[in-house]
Amino acid sequence: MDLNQLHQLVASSRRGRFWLDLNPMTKMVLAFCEVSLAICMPGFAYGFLLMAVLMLCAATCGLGKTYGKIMLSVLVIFVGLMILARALFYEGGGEVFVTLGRFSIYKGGVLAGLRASSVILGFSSALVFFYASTEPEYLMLTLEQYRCPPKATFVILSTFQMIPQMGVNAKTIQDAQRARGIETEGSLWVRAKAFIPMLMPLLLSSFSAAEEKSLALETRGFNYDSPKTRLRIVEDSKAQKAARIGLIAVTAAACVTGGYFKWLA
Amino acid sequence: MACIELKQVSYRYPTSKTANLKEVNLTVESGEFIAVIGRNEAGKTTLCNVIRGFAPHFYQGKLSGSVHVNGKDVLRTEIGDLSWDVGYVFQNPFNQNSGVKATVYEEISYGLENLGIPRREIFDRVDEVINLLGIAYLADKHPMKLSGGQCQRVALASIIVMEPAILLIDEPTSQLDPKGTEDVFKIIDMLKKKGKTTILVEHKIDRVAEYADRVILMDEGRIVRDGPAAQILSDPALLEYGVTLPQTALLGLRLREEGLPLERIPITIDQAAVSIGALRKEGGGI
Ligand SMILES: Nc1ncnc2c1ncn2[C@@H]1O[C@H](COP(=O)(O)OP(=O)(O)OP(=O)(O)O)[C@@H](O)[C@H]1O
Ligand SMILES: [Mg+2]
Repeated sequence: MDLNQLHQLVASSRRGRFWLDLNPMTKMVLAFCEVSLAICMPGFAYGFLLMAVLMLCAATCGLGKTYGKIMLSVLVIFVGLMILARALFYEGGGEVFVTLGRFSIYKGGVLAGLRASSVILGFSSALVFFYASTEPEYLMLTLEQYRCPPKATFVILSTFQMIPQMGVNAKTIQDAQRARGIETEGSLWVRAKAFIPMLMPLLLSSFSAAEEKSLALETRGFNYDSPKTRLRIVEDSKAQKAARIGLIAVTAAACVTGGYFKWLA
Repeated sequence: MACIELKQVSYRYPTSKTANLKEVNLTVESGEFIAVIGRNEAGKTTLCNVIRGFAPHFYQGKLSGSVHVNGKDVLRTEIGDLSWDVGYVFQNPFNQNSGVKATVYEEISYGLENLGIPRREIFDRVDEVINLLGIAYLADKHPMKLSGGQCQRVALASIIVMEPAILLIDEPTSQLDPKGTEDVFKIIDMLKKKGKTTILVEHKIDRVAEYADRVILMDEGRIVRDGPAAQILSDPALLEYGVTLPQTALLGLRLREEGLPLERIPITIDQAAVSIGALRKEGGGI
């Protein structure tokens, strides 16, 4: 990539994909509404439907793989367990769904499991889609525009950026441990045992890094008392502002109605 | 004009039992290129920390004496107010990036953003520095996925793009190969020609001999030698302070030992060529 291309990348937040180009605040409002609905909607269709719709959206902006992978594991691990647990430990009686040997699984249990999964799926698909489709830097800039203090946005953003760094550190430490004869591969138990001694150096190195980091920031004028310039510009539009207000209004109405029916049921 | 002035400065880190700087007096004129040498733990980094105000403002601890930088009384100046006066490139090449930027290009721009420089100018200045340091190939990389040497170059770029009047550079070449080291020294030399005041902590004594005007030797928190490079770096007493002499100075001293009437001890290859050439003309035995 030459410098001119980089200028363009930096100068505009447009990536030519609808979902990527939405203002982060719009996406945040959208995620907030999706989550609220997941809590308020009766029945179990909502969570599954939302997951499927967002999968389509993700596919249109090249995020299908990222989103799909995470949601698949959520589906298998959490939702599977949730349904199983609710179904097995259901005490309501009623109509039997299937009989497995001595166990009877009741329809009511399965339904309860599905309802709980719907909430989990609603939460996770909304959040996963939001994180996948939002560049952290633009999120920070947006928060700054909404008067979030730079120190707070810095903490949020550096946490985002720290995750790959932690991975690198963890690997270095693991290599060192292996060199000293600590087993880091093998069964789950072996790995768990190796994980605990790894935490200490990882945390300690994070602490001393924090001291150096705050000095490094100082040298870069982080506390220099002047309005800051931002190379990146987040685009917003009247239409999006209207859409945000509309979304919140519609969601509020839907939540109230949905909540009422849920309470009735 | 003196742009750095330390008078009778003693300093101790809060966790340290003894003073880490002892009665340091130092006057630096604007535009000087000074190298600080000395064995490990001699107090070189601490000296930089005091000049930048990190000690005592950040590290706390006790400081006596006075520190003035660019006309400001550092002890009475907010730590953030010196960002524009003093650029400081740290010894540890890692952990120097802001941690909030996704590309090296933006990492380098970060200081200018914080100083509130207009966007157009930021683009121009970052491009210029990137080309100057020859790191265009790194511009779109993630700052956390760089090697040690690459980190050092990016750290240097991130500071010099801010064009501070004074540069503190703490061992900028520890992770670089000879070619990379030479490149960095050329850049520092070029900054000197632009009139920047530079204090460089460096162990690579041959490079110091070639580029620095003035050399400061530190030991146990004190400045034990301070003078023109040629004088300090040709003094065999340096060896007692755990620093080596330039190869050519060692050669010169050895030749003198062998009885050759060397007029002065060379500290660079060029000087060595001249000195030894002179011997030959006098028919001194070569
Ligand atoms: N943050 C700190 N807290 C407490 N003591 C410190 C701290 N930093 C350095 N020291 C101590 O101060 C003394 C001088 O250290 P300093 O880092 O200035 O040495 P240096 O000359 O830069 O060494 P090196 O060549 O290893 O970088 C040492 O005894 C060191 O242990
Ligand atoms: Mg040091």
